[in-house]
Amino acid sequence: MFDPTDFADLANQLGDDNNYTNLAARTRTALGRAYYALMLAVRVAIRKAENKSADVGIADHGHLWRTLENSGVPQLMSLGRTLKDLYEARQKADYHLDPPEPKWLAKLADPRFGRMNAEIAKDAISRLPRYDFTPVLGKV
Amino acid sequence: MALKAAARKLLKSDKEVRLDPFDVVSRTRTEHHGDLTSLHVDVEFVERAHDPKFYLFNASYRAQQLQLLVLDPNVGPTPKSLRAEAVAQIAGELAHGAPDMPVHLGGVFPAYLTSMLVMFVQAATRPESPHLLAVEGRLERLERAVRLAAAENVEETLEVDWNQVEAALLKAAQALGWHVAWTIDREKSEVVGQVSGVDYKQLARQKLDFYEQVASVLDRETFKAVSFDLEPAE
Repeated sequence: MFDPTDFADLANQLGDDNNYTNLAARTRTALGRAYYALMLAVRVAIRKAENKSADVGIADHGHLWRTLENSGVPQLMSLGRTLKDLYEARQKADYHLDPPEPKWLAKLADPRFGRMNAEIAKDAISRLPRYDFTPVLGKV
Repeated sequence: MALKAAARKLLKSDKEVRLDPFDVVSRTRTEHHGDLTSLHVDVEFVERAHDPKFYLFNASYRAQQLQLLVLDPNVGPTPKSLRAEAVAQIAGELAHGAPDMPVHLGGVFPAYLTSMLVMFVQAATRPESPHLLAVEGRLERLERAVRLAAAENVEETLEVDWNQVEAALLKAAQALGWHVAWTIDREKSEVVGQVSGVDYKQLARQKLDFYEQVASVLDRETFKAVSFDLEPAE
């Protein structure tokens, strides 16, 4: 089975690889991979706990992080918030070619932001085996 | 010139060949009525009609086609022989009047189905009635009202307890050993922390811990209402 962590590694490499001279394209691609790395890893962890196939989909992206945030368990709420942050960055990266907010204009062309999100995703994935997903099982 | 004449001829012949939807219905009726009549709940109602009726199908008899005319020699209170005689008589008269006219007799269910189709076509082609226009107007007003309600403050904005947030930030920074300069935008419900002495990688690996610290102090709704951004201080 494909390991979603590999997406996070790719996101990190893209952040470092100066062969790609277009900083915005590099950063935006890295942000997309970072989000999908964590989202897929969380889905795998939940499906595993539910004894279901890892490929059983989730209705929509927001549903996953909202369910985690609403769990009331600080650990899962934090994971949900992290996922939400990565999702927001990925949304901006993929769909907002000319974001009106100066903050995003700068971030989307900064490979450090892409690398940071990749690291956040990797760190979160490494913690998942210790998480108890019981409060959200059957809800996503 | 020859081409023009051929085209004209073709157009003329096209004009003459018309597909009559009622004729299509009548053919369908002839093919299937035997299987369907006994299955339809409305058959009994139609069969109870006392007067013998018949169905006409012909492009030149549109007025007659709008009626439900059924004649079945095998049903009804009239003895079979008499009804059959009546059918034969009517059929003969019609054939005499218009020898090319296809006459289809019998078949209750397809006749009912056809009458429904005719009613549907009539309803679809009828100019909009004042009643329908009034309903449409009401729907438009309702739609406007719903839009207006949605544009107004439907989502309740949570009143954030900023003292609680500041206490949570202080606790998180102490737990993680950070020196942080917090910028709090209460209007946008945004908190930005510039953390000294850490690089992006360290900060990335502590972000989940930071969230856990904050989430353990704040109530769930406040945690959800405020956005937190962390950056290494330059």
